[in-house]
Amino acid sequence: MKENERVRFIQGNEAIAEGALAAGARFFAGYPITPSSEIAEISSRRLPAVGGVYVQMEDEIGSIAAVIGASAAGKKAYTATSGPGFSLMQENLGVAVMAEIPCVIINVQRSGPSTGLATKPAQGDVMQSRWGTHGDHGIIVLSPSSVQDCYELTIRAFNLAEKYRTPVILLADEIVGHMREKAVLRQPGHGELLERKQPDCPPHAYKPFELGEGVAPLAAYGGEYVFRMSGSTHDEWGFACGKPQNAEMFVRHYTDKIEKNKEDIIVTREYRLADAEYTIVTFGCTTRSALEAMRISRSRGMPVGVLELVTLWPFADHHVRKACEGAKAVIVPEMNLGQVIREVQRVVKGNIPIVGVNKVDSTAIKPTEILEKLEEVAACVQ
Amino acid sequence: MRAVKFDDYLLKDKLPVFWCGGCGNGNVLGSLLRAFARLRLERNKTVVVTGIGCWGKADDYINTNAFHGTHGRALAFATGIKLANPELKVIALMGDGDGATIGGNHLIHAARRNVDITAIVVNNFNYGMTGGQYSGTTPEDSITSTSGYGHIEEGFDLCRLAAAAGAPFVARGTVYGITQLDRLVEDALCKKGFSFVEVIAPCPTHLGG
Repeated sequence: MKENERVRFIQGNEAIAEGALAAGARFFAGYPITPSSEIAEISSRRLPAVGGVYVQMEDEIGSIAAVIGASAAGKKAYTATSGPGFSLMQENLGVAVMAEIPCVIINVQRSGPSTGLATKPAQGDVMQSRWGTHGDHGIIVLSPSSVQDCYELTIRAFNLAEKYRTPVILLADEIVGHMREKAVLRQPGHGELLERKQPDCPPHAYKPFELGEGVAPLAAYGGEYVFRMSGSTHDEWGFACGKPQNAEMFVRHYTDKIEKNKEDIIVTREYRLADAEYTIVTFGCTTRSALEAMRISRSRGMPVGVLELVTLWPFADHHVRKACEGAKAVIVPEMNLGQVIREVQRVVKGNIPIVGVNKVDSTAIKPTEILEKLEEVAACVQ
Repeated sequence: MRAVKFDDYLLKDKLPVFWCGGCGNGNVLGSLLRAFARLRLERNKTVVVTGIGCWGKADDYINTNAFHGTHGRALAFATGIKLANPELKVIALMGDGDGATIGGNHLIHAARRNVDITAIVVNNFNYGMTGGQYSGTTPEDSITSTSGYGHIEEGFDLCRLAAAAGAPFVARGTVYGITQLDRLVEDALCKKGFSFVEVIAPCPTHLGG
């Protein structure tokens, strides 16, 4: 262990709260919901100790609104929720997109739809995290598969939110959120932290939505700049503007600023893909079962590799295509009825069979279930 | 950035206002900006938070910081802004549909929480911007565009609601009594804690015109 690190044995949700603090977050607004509540509980104790604010709002609509307001006032801000609360947040998630206000939304996924099984895991919010709020937009979604990831990706979520002036979703799940394992935490002051770009023009010239350089600087309420934020279609000054050309420019901007920076945003992990004949594309908790399935398959002489999507959105088209190129078959295990697999089918060319391992009974996908599918598919493509 | 005159806070190049003839919103805007001037609010330390609706367009004409959010959520955005930077003067401008119907839950909890925000609800008893449908304050028996047979529900008394929820300052004025309204708005802005002003206003285009 390096001097600037601390080794802890903690839960994923605790690592997320620690990650938020390490990223410099100083404002949490939320509403208790299983299986994310530990993030609120820990934040309520830790934030006041570092000069931060914890507030429990009347619902998740208000929670994300308060987070967005706090961010416009200059604080790095976050909220944590699960499926039902995430559904309620979709409305104001769009405000963060439209007003380009950095914030981090943690969704510890549970079994749905509706109230579903509150204490049980699922990965059913992949598409909701991409398209849940109405209207075209780009979005960044990160998916942790370990407690260490919970910590590191939370810090990364804040960095990306600040850099691209955008909401970032940390799409965890009940398994990753509640399991305990070793995590190495940074000492305060270590590791790269990104801060939003500040304007340096004279106050009268500040345009909070200037399109010139991609992502405009964002002042904070209370400083020398007087400015307006808006969830309505607005011009570069933030004033309501109904001109078709203006709407077109901004809607494209919300997508382009994410999609055109995919190389910077996307992180994937490759496991033994070099000689793989079978590729498993995976994310979140299911990665752990996929890696075990890979290990067992290889011990049986079957060359399997794994591509883990750490960044779920924007989708890693290029990485997935490359990882699946020349494979005899591709397996996509996910705790839903097939959400990521649609993207894999979209990007993988040729006649490669792409097969899902799908489970919605609120229990984890076991390595043996992936293994069975691998062997079943192998028997067909031999 | 101190300004002292009413029109130092007015974005004159955005005039004329888009509100209909006979609407009370312009009167309330006048009271608000005169109060800003009397209190010499610093424009950069002031944030006007609006929702969606006719009165929710008020920030288009105000020369302070502004946050134009979503329908009903102004007080929730305002809560985050105020808690993140308590030095700011935060004012939420909402209508009856916006602030008291879809946003009713945020209103009662903002009052209970007693965050130092001034809420000014212009109550014209209907959804004016969307064509005169009934809101949570529309009186029983009213004919609106969605209650053609006469409204069968009773409306909220917003002041009693805000007081019951714990607001330490609750006032009701009208756009017919501007001198009194000027005073109420100024008193509300000076009150530490959650202050609530309901302004009774007409909607001659859609209701009772």
